[in-house]
Amino acid sequence: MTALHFPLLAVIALAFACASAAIIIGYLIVRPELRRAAKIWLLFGLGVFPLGVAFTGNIQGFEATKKRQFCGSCHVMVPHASDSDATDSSSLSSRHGRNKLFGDENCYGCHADYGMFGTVVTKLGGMRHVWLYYTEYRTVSIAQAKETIHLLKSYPNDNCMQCHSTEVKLWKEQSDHKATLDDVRGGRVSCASAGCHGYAHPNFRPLEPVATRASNGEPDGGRAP
Amino acid sequence: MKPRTASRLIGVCCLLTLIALALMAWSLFDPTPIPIIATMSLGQVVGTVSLGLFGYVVMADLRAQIARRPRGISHPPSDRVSSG
Repeated sequence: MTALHFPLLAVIALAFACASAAIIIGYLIVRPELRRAAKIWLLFGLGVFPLGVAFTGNIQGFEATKKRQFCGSCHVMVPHASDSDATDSSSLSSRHGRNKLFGDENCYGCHADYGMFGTVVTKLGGMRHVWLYYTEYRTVSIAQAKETIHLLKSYPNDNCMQCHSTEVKLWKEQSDHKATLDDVRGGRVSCASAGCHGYAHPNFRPLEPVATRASNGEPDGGRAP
Repeated sequence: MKPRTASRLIGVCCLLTLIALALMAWSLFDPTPIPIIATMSLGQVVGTVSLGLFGYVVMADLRAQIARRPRGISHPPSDRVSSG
């Protein structure tokens, strides 16, 4: 179980849950006749308050899924999350984690898909990760995970360009940027590659063809999260 | 619907809601993938079933009350205002 630091939404959800439980338990103990007053109380206990729990709990759940702590709760992600959390690391993920804009939501900040349906697409991708974890990777050791887990597809520069627009004069004046401008914007040269800003995570492995990974006998044919 | 049946169904609603509340509160204490998925799927399905059952009992009770009323009288006698 993780640390019990309750955000406001969680407190509200718990308050609704307690109120609902109190009404229900009270009803079960007293067992009054089902008249109007009892029905109104039960409407709150079985309907209004549980809906409040569901509503606030959902929002809190979505917020929780953005946290680095959540991403690191699957053991194979521990090396990535720990490095991201380390104040002395110079990896891209850690540097972004130290930025207040990203903070403890830096995994989500960088990996969330951009665009109108970005959140939905990201959550669907996250469900796929959970499925793969519980069906393929739950028993894989961290050492093996470091060797076998890859990105499904190249990391899109569009995600970097949400903040680094590539339009600022200072950025354009940098000779490497100037030489690769079209390739960077077109996604043909990755910002997070060995020749540019380095890999985002210290134990990151560059993308390899799926067929190569499958032939190496990796779980899921190497189509890991 | 007989009062005893209604009371029994309400009891089932209460138990289902308590289970739903426990499932929905689980992710607040343990925000990891399985509790959050359980909260957003199973917890809410159980809660919705419970609320639906409660609605059914209330509607059935209401129908029975209407059926018991004498024809031509729109309000129960206790609601009438005395003219004297």
